Amino acid sequence: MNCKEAEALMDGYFDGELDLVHSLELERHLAECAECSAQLNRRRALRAGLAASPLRYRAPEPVKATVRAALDAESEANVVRMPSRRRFFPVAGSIAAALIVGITAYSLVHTAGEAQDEEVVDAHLRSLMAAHLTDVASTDQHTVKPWFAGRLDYLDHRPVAALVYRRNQHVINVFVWPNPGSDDRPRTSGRNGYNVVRESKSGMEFCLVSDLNRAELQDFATRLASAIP
Amino acid sequence: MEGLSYREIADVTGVAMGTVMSRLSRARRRLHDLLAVAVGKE
Repeated sequence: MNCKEAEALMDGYFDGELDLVHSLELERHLAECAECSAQLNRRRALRAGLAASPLRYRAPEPVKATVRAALDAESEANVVRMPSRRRFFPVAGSIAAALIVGITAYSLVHTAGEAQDEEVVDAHLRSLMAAHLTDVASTDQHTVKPWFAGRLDYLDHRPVAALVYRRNQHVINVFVWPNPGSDDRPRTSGRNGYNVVRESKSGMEFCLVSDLNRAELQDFATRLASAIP
Repeated sequence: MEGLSYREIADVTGVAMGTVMSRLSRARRRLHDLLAVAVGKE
């Protein structure tokens, strides 16, 4: 990434609106570029200075009410929910379902059996290295948090889907593969400081791996399962 | 803008997301320049 590209992404990143892939690339660039880091600090200073100053303008309540009403109307109209700042996690329910259908078709006969903790944590760590975190993500300059980023991965010699999420600085890999059997509540384990939550829903096995703390990861697993029909 | 996401801003204002982003960028730059001048005068 060069400085021109970094500058273009800077505001989006600063507002927490940049997708995972570009965020990581930008952070890598910032680690090596004093100029661009200064740009980021300039924005931080502006935000902090404004928030603290008498210049800060708070929208009057009637305006807020109008905005809230407009937002509620919009979200009812949208069939596919875009991630909202107020939500804890974006849950791409319908796309997860579409991906699951694809993976099921792809691995007709085979199912990934017991992917051990060691194996899923290794796969999680490998995904964080270098560039191969996603196969699917927008490359548009105006990329703003696509609600789906993922890739194909292999566990137990079988192809699996990996949905990629991020919570603050923590990357969450959600490995998904077909697993005929009944639904199962989230089970938590861990290895080498990484947490693993497994659950089954609608004939699919979900294996979440992250350095995110157990409570939040379990909460995410529960929300994910509830979004699967 | 009051803690709304770009998406929400676009929905409420009826403006395309790319436009929201470029306007925000330009507004920030302009604000920074204006403030820099104002501070310089003190």
